[in-house]
Amino acid sequence: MTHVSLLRLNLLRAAYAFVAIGILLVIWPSLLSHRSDWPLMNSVVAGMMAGVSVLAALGLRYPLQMLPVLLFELLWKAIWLTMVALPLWTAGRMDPRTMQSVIECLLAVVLIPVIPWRYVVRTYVTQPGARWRRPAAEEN
Amino acid sequence: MAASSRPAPGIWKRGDQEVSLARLYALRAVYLFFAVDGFLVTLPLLLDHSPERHLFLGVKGGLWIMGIIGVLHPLKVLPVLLFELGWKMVWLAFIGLPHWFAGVNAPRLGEDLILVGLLPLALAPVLIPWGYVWRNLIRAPVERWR
Repeated sequence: MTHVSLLRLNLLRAAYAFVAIGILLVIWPSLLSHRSDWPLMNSVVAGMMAGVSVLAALGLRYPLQMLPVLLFELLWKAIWLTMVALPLWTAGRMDPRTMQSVIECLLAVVLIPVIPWRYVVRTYVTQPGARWRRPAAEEN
Repeated sequence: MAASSRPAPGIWKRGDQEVSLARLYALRAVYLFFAVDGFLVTLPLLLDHSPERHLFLGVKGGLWIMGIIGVLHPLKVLPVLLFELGWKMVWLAFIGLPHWFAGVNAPRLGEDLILVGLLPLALAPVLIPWGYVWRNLIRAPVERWR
């Protein structure tokens, strides 16, 4: 069991609260009062963000168990920034709407110092995965 | 199936484990789908810098990586599966069904429902180990506050 300090747990809780409240204020109003010509992909991303807000609220109770949600948030933003936005920017094809998304995605950098990386590496990388075969104990 | 001829707990019973082996493999199949789909469909889109610039591409890329971790740790990555189920329900409830009932965009909605993934939505209630979710994410003692 890896020890995660109390300060770290409460920093994580603050991050979950930041994510949950941010989405609650920004995304939910547009979900509840959208126009019918909302493009599919915009409504899909809004639905996804709303899903994240519910799980982030659970993260207040279980900050460590909900880490995959924060990791996922950080990961997809990093992927989008480096593999979609950066090439557009270097090619000089950035437009104001894409720039707006870039700024929103860059907000995720606050997660980097908050995530307990040593715990993440131990839990998701170095620890053995779930069992692949029936446990030996069953043959006793 | 043949479970009755085997000494319990077989692959269908969880015994003193968190979930049964059959369940672990069912979950692994889902994560494997994310991992393979991400590799075959999303990665080429990300690499060829097409005019497509939507955030959704990044999200699919994130699911690809989480799928790879999920094959090894099906239970630890469960919040990501819950997320998949959750956002699809939110989309259906707030976008899909209101449009459907209002008769707005109805022909398009048929395709949208499939795109958003009605099939995973139908599978999730059976696939997700709700007992495990209940024990670990709802009933478990809360992480310390003080």
